[in-house]
Amino acid sequence: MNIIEKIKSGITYVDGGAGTLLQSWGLEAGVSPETWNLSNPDKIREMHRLYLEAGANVITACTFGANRLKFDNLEEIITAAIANAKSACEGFEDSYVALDIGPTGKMLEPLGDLPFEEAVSVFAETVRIGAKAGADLILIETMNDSYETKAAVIAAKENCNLPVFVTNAYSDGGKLMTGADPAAMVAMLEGLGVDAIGMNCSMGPSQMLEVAAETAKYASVPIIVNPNAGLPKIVDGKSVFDVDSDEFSDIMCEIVKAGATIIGGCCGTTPEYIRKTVEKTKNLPFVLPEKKEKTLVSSYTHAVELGIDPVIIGERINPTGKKLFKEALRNNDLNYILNEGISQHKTGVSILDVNVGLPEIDEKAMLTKVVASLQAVSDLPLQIDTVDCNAMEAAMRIYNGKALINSVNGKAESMAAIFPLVKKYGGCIIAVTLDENGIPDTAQGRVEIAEKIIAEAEKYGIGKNEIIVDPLAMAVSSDSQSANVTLEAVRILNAKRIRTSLGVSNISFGLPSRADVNAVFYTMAMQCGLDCAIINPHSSEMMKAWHGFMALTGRDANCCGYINFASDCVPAETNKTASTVDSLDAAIVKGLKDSAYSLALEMLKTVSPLEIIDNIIIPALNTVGKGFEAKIVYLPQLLMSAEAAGRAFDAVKSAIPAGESKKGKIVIATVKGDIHDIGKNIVRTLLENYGYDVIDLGRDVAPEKVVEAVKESGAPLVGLSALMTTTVPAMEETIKLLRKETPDCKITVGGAVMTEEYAAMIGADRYCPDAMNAVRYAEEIFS
Amino acid sequence: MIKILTATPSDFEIPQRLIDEYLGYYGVESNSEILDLIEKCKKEVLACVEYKACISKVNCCKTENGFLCLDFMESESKSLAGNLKDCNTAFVFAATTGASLHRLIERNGIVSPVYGVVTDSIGSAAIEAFCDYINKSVGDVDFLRPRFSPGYGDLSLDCQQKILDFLSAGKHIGLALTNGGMLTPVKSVTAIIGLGKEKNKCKSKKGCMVCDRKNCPYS
Repeated sequence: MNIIEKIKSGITYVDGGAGTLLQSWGLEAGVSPETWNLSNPDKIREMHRLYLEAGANVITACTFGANRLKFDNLEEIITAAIANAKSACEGFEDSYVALDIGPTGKMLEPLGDLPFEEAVSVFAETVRIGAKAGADLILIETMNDSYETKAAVIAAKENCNLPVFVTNAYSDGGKLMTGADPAAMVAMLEGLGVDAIGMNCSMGPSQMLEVAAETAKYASVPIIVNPNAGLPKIVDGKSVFDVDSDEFSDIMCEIVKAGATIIGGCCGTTPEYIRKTVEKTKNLPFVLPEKKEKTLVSSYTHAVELGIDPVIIGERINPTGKKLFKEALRNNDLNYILNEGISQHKTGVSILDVNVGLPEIDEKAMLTKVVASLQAVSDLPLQIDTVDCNAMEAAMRIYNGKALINSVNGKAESMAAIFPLVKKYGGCIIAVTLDENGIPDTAQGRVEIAEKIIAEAEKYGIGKNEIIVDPLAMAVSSDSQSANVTLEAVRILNAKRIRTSLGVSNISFGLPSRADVNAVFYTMAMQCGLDCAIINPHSSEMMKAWHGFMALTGRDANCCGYINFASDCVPAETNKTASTVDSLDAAIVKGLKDSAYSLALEMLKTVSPLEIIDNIIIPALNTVGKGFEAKIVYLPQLLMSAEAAGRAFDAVKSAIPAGESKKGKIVIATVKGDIHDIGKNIVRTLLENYGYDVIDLGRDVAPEKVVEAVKESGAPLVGLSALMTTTVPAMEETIKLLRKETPDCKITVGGAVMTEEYAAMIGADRYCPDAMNAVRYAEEIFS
Repeated sequence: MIKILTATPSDFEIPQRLIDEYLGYYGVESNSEILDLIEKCKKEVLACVEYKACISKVNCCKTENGFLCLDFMESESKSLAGNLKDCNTAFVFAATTGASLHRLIERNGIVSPVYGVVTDSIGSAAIEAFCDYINKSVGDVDFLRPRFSPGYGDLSLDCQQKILDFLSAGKHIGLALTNGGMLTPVKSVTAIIGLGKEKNKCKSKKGCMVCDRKNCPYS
């Protein structure tokens, strides 16, 4: 029987810790166990044999850290490791060799600097070698980051046909180091099609019991539990684990009762632990998890379950009808887009829709960039919204979690394009009820299309629970029955236990006071059983409808959610007397953004925009800047004033003739290898608000990119930042390349380790110790 | 043996003095908007900070060629050797405030630079305060040497990887090093604390005081 048949036929046993045994046999601290596959193959085989004799079925080859980032002789090590394990298995029935894959030791972007595709490539190499050497399955284990886990699973799926088992290392509190809880991991991993899911390492069996029980609430595939032998402690000068084999095996019985069917051990466990576990659990009832039929979307921290309470999907990341958003997309202004996400997050939405389609931009590149950047600042699950299938696939691939996909429809072409992507990467899909014949006029017609889509999805192995049907809200102004039809469709779908979603605001197209109509329709739809809605969460009418509905339908214990919402709705001035000023310069000096904006608008009625900039905004900012230089104002105040000046600039900008608004271009960047950019951001804020056109290349920027930006923009000044001594060589390299390629350009440098002498040594024109100093230097250059 | 130490915000305060220091405060009065912002950011930081550290006790000795030898590395650093003079043992640790705080700093910096700077400074103060907490937890502070981190004096940042590997810091507390030699999540620290045989006479000094940088705002 193969390993898949084995795990479906009874409790399957995995081996225990390797390090503990090997160290007792002479493996020195600091020496990689993987090297023993070549230097001490007999001992490796002996270790496997002891576990097999103890009753283990799955032997993890000694390849935990075997990847090209750590070993030059990767093929040799992995091939030997699999051969050692296979050789040990000879004579043992129902024994299987797992290619063991642990973390790379690097943190993936955006928390670290390892690009997702590079991680996939690193794992892929290990997988190809292991599969070729004859492994029976892939075991991805001890992963404490969901994103690295996804990279490893994709690598395994794309490079072999072996079953894939995954165990994550949960910390105290039942979450991975980067934040994912069991529901999030189950959603993502089942979406990716892994064969068994679970946990190992980090904790002892009793703590793991809770995580196993939580996993069992969501998992439909077999659950793996491989705990440590408790926590390490010192006894008689020796490091030992505090759970002995008796206690361990007792708790493993509880773990089996909680739903685990594949069990073993991790750090500190020995063959004795496995033997006792086998003895005590082998006659326990074997119960595979039932199919849960939950509709889960997830991020890198949590899952959102659709079908319980009505879920809000924020619609604001979408250029349709938004001039500023379109401008941000064309200018590659990610901050604007990210702020749309962050501000919706704060309203309490559960999911963010992401649509960045504009005919004139590269949607695939923009969508992946926005998805990745949003995930660096918001832990909400995302709804990927595009009609471009290439963009959709790229975004689904790099998405950290299980996304909501917007959308598929009943046309054969649409289903043939979208379903294979969902099968590969996982995801819940918004299914729009239109097909080759258009949108049916009747509720029944729309339900029939929904059922056609569900049936087609089944052929790909995508369950009904993954499909969320949008029966389409059409403008009631052009068809007075349209709302009735849509609501009836929601009712029928709900009765058939099919999940539903609506883009609510279409209903009011062509009507005045649209928000009022939208809110009433939204309430009616929720009453019909609507599971989720794409709405504008900044619309108070919509949020009132949602909070009211939650309170009135018993979904809001003690109405706490509604009460908090209502108290936040009280206008700010009744809560607190905000600081007020009556002149623009005072607003800037005090750092009052809103006042600066409104006062600048007011002033535009009588004063020319350039006069406002030259005579009010810049002098006011200078007052604060001089205070900062004299050390009587500190950094936050300087920045608040700069931001207030920025708002005043926004107000006058539209009145300035094109080409006269900026003093000159400056390229700034944090150098290659450096991921800390707060200092550079402070400099950008100041320079921008002194009227310069700042081309901010971001962080970890290669020298060639800086040169390219200078050539393209013709900027006469470049600012480079580096935080640590380790990245100053990259700064020096950038300066050398700039000198060669753009010799007329002036270069200023800054950063925590930088000094006047250091700056001169690496060939910079000027060392600027702080942001005001950078402004002064820019004034010199552009004077 | 590697000991895992965790702490919650209620275990110790983040001193306001440290926050002010990282904000470049020169002893002037701040306005109420900034004080409100600091309070708001502090609440956000405390809501998401996850203090975690892994610590191990190591032997200190000298090699034949006179270099300092800890269990997991040899070092030519004169500054560290000076710091650990007369110590037979030392604690080596890696500490972090966690991935959620890293993301909060990113997020707030996107919303507004001042929001980002204040959050970042509170994050810096938080990890510093956590390191002080670790100091107190490892042993009698009277016998401990000033905490010494890679990057202080002539101790190269290169040894950070050795510290992380030795402590399995990636596995235990989710801490890693970028190719540029930076710890991630941000607001993390690696350090060595010497354990002297006699009461430490220079305990008030920071380890970083061995640095010869002339323009350090914190000196």
